[in-house]
Amino acid sequence: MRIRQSRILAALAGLLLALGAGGSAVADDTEIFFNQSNNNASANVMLILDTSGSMDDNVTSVIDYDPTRTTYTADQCGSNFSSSNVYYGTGGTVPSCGSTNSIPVTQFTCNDANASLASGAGASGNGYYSGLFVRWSRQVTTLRSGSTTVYLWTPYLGGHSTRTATISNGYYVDCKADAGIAGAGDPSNSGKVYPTKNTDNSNTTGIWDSAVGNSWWGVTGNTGGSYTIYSANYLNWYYDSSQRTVQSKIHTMQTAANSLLDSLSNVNVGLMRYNYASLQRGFGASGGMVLSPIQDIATGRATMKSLISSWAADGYTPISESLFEAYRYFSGGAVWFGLNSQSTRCNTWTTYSDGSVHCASESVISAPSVAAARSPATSSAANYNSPMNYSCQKNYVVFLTDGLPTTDSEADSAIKALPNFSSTAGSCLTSLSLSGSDGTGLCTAALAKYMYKNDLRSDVNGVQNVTTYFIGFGGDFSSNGRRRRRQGLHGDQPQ
Amino acid sequence: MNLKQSLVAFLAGLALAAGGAAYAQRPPVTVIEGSIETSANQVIFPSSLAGKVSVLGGQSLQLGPGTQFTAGGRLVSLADMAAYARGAGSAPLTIHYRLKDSVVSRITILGK
Repeated sequence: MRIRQSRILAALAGLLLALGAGGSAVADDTEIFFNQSNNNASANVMLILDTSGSMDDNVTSVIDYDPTRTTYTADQCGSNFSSSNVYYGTGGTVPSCGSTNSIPVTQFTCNDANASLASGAGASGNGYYSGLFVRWSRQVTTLRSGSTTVYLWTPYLGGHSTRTATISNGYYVDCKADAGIAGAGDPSNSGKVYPTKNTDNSNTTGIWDSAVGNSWWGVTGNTGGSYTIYSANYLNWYYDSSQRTVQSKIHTMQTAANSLLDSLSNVNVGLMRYNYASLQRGFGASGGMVLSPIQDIATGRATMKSLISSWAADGYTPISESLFEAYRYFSGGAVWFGLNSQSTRCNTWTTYSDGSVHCASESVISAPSVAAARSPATSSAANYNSPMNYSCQKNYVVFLTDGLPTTDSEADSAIKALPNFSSTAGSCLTSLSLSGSDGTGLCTAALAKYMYKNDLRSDVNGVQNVTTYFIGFGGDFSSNGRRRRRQGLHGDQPQ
Repeated sequence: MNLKQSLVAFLAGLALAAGGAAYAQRPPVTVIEGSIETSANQVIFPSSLAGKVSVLGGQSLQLGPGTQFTAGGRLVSLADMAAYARGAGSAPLTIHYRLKDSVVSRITILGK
């Protein structure tokens, strides 16, 4: 069996997840690999993008750290971190403003961290370094007969107390990665490249040894202290408010989605969005529609990018209805919400004084599910043309949404009536009482589970199922986000 | 990386969004606006920017001098927005407000 993997969503998920924690969140790339297996049948991926009104909300984002720039100003702290020091944090906590968790650069001898912490012309590190450390420290042991003082390597960068001894901030700081490679920050150091396991009564700075048998790291139980070391330049960037930008979610999503589409190859991708309103069914019944059929990314890329870039954020959040339309598409069922659906097109984008981009002039346009997604490929065809044509072909829905469902109940009855629904998908929620929700969208999780558990194309060899990924971002995924994921989205997970 | 491993990475990403410590080296990203997705016939507008816009059965939010109104694809005044909404029935209407003080930043209604 030939297996290939197509990386997708590195940029998209990372960027959108960055919006995901309501009060605050953390940005980083997150990758999903869509496996492609057997007979060179590319995976099918349907992107469903949130175009509801809440996507016009503003969020902040962060300008990436540039190690070559040394002019950051930690204005959020009132004063800059000193370039004479490096700073340490524990447990993923970045040193706070005015932190005394500092080590003079002259005492920091971890050669392995140099590239990561460097700043200025030619620097390329990320500004921080994580590892296991030891510090030459002063240990005072108090006994009835008096106290004794020795110096030794300890795993504590900031001093430490035990029942009998007090360990004070010491001098040199070294890292495990340097063991056997460098001592005192010097790769040669006359061969003394191991911090000694021995104590000393008078040396106040630190002792290295050339014998591996005398290495502190070789002593059973000595693991070092786990710390992350930050350069002052990085912390000045971290607390520099000018490194924040304000942007609308829709603009952020458009930028990220287009970047994603540019990065993909060897995968089939389709595109759906929420229906703004249906002339036939009224504003409250929207669902979603297929605006680009699942096809080779090379074929559909330009169309999808153009569509995404044109959308204005407006309307409700019909999550389960849109997923149900995706189910119909994958299974070759009847076009429903995509019969008379409408899209929102931005005619003029404007940049606000805070730098955020919003739509200043928009139009509602007719946008039924496209002919190319139907069978036969005409705009009047009643059924979708299923893209699941090969055994072992992988099928995915990637659903990007920022909010809890609204006006999202019209598909409930149809979902519950699917063959073997209760035996394979369980049941829809009976209620969803969360701030930001109008109590609809009860069948989202069950439908995702149904699409994974059932063969949606019995006429094709093998099991043709769909794995659904939800990427949630925005305020609705903050305080109640985890609860919501439990309530609404766990049905999507592969078993 | 197989699919299950990929899923783990994905879920780890969600954990990140909730403030996972492992990735705390980057500054926090902040959601600074919230919004209410409702319909035009559920909203009561005040007569001036000093008043509050109310959603039936829900919140009342303060307008401000900087509040912008978009109706039918155009920037309009509060009075024009109120008039437009009265004739818009159940058309979707979105109220965006600043989370820090709950002052409305934008109200948008597109179609009738």
